[in-house]
Amino acid sequence: MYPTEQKPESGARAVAVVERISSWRLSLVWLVPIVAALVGIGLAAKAIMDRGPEITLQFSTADGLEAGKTKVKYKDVEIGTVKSIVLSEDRKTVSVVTDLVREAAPLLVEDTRFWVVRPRVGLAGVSGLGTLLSGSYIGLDVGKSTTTRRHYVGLEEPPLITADRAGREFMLSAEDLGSLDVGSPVYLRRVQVGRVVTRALDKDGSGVTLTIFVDSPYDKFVNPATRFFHASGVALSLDDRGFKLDVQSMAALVAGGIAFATHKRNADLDSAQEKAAFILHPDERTAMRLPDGMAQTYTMIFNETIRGLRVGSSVDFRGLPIGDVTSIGVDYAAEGKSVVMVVEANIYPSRLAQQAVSGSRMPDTRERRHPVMNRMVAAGLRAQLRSGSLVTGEQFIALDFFPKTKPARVDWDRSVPLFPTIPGKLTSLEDDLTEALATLKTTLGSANRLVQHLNREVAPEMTAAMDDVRRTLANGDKLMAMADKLLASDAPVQQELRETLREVAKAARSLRQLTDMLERQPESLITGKKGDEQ
Amino acid sequence: MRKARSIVELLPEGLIACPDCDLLIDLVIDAQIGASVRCPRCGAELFRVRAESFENTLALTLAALILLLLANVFPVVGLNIQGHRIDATLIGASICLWDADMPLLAGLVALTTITIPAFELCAVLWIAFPLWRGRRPAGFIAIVRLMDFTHAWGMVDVFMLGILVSLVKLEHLAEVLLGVGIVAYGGVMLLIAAIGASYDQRVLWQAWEGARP
Amino acid sequence: MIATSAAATGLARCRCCGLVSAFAAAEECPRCSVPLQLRKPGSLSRTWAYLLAAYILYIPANLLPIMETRSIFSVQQDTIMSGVIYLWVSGAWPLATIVFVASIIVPLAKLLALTLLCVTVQMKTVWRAKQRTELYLFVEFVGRWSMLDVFVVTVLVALVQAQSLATVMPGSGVVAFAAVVVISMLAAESFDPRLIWDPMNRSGKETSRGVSD
Repeated sequence: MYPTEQKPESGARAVAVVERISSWRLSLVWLVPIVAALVGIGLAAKAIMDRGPEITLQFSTADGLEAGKTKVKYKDVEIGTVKSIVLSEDRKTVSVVTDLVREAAPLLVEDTRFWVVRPRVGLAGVSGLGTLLSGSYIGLDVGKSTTTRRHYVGLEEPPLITADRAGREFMLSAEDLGSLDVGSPVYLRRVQVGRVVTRALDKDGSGVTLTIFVDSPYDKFVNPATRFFHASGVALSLDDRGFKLDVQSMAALVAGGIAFATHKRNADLDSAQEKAAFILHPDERTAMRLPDGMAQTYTMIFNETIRGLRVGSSVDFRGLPIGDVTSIGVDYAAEGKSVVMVVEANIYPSRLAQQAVSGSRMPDTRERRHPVMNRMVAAGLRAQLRSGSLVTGEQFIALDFFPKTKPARVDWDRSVPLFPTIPGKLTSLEDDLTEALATLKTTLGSANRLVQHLNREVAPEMTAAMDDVRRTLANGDKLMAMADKLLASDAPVQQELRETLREVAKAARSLRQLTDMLERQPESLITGKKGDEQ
Repeated sequence: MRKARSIVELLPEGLIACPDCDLLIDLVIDAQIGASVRCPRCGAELFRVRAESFENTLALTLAALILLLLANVFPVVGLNIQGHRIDATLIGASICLWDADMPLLAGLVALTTITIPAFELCAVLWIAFPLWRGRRPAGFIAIVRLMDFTHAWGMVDVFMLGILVSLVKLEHLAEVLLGVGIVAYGGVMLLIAAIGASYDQRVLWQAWEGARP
Repeated sequence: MIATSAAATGLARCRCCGLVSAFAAAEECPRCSVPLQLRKPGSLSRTWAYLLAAYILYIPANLLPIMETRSIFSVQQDTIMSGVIYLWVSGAWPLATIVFVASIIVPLAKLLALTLLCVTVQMKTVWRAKQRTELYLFVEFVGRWSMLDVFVVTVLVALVQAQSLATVMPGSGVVAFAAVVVISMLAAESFDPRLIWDPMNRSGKETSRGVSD
């Protein structure tokens, strides 16, 4: 109520009518908040509709990631932001909750991979340096699957091969890793055409499985008959064959590498499927070796040292490798009451056949081979231990024809046929040495005589000359002493000096004569001065 | 000593003449806020007993609160340096200061740019709405005293100018992106000025006196 | 016209609702029950104290850097003055002027003005009372705008966070500067402008009760 001044009543005056207004009449000013509210609601609705999917990424560390700031980029386009980072429940990993834009939803499939782009230095090179300035971000590689996914385990390293790279993957199984690692190069004719993507020890520990990626268009050169082999580092072989150094490239030297090649005759096959499996051979020679065909195993008995022979040493036929040693052992030969060396070796007759120039072929069945072998042994084919390299002491087994040996034959009745052997060349080396020693002895005898001759004939002359010189020098000494005393005074001393000098000159002259003579007639040392004997 | 008298001037006192029919009317009436006083003879509206724009005050305050909310939710301004994008919200700015080991400054900035303006707007709303309906707001005196204290410390307009100055400084360094927040905050600035103009202490207390307890 | 103050006539204006009523110490306003005060208690001494603190803090506020811009190329420290020079040199003359006025002139002017007011009040002069009142109103009005620099630094810190490319961190000078602004605002608030006019009252009741110390 408002206190009002009471006015004196004047009846003729009218009194105004008070009309209560309906309380809810609104004036135009209410448009302002209404508009504000509408705008707010509109923006909120738009923000909600624009909201893209939320994903969770697991990383082992949140290094470089900041909640609310770190971005997710695909092909350099921002598609999301990290919302929050929390430790996972088991406290072993970090869960990164990330909001993505709506348009990114189709990228989130089963095999999409995420990783943190930070500066990295590795075998594959230096990457991510730009993030030093701009801060780390999360990169992704979109997979090809069609099932969507919202929870991912992030990679700790960027994948070597992104899904959209052209080329093919192949699986290689190897005995050991050698010097290979993820990122090691793959070569074809010493040109890098791919790299190792993954490597893993087999579950049973019996080998290593590698995945390699060969870029297109080179992947079409890989066909089912292609051979893969280590091209790692330095291939140094020092065997009975000699010394060999083989290097693919500097990169292979550092990082190890794999090379592949296909025999020309297999070059036309269709290229291999994606993820086809191959064996990784230890070296080029082993890889490119054509199939050996059937092996014939023989036992050989040697009665000498087999030092330098080892499993894998080759069996040659007149220089052509036709087999290798598979085992070395010892046996007690009861008859001779001695211990003999038992060597088992594989022989691949097909290797010989491969080298055959004319169309002649080795019989391919066992039964037919026996007569052929018998004939050759009868003609003198024997196994002999030979030295491959005097430097390393390596030995190998040589098969050759020795026409003059006593007859022998292959003992087919044993479980592993026994091949006849012949003593190794080392024994004949002894003979050679003895011969050499004998020659040396003769030479020594002659040398002895020469020395005696020297003593008897030439020496006295030398001695005489030497005596002269000695005497002169002694005189010289005395004279020098006198000269010291008398030099200051008179000429006669000088004259005496001159005399002495003349004598010295004479002695020198006779010595020179001797040397002159020796020069002209060196044989005089042995044969005496010409003219003396006559 | 003369006794103090309170003076109320909401209703014009004494006689007035109807503008339409020239009737001489004696204003001895009992009217509440919102009432319309009419000529008894011709019905023309003589005047309306209106609390000075509490309706305006209310509407503007509601709008300002909505805009303040928007200004806090959406980023005010963003910067794009070489592809590195940062968006700043009002709270985010204070948090940045907090993170830079300046908690007192962070608190001061947050207070003057968000808390105190928000409090003021809420207080005005608390007061204006009942008064607009003709009732006395609860805790009126306490709120009014607090409002006097905070009125000098709300710095929305200074912050707006600060943002503009920063944008100028940054303009050639990187790409500047204006967000929804800056428009909303500018709106808040204008509305606060309008609200301040829509009532004063005298009107407020008169309204209070005239309102039902 | 006999100019007389309410205090001289024993009347006090309620500081909350503005109602003028008879003053007796420890009495409450009849309308809003707030204790009546003739003048702000301890006005001069409080104002002097705040002024002193503000003067002391003014030195580090201007000497210490208020902003540090870091990148892998360089670290650059800015004081208020260097910020103004930067704006001027980059061609934004109006803004440079605004910042110069708001951040350097105004704070100092405020302190000097308040000092003048305190001194003249202390000396109980009657020199140019109206202008002094206007000066006070100016000081009160303009006080909050000095926070501009603080807000500029805040926004820059919040936006320029691009790691190695460019990162802005607040310097210690900005805390000192904010303190100067806050304290000078408190000083202006604690000063009672009515004290300017008290020496001019002719009524006998002016001295001990009319002027507080």
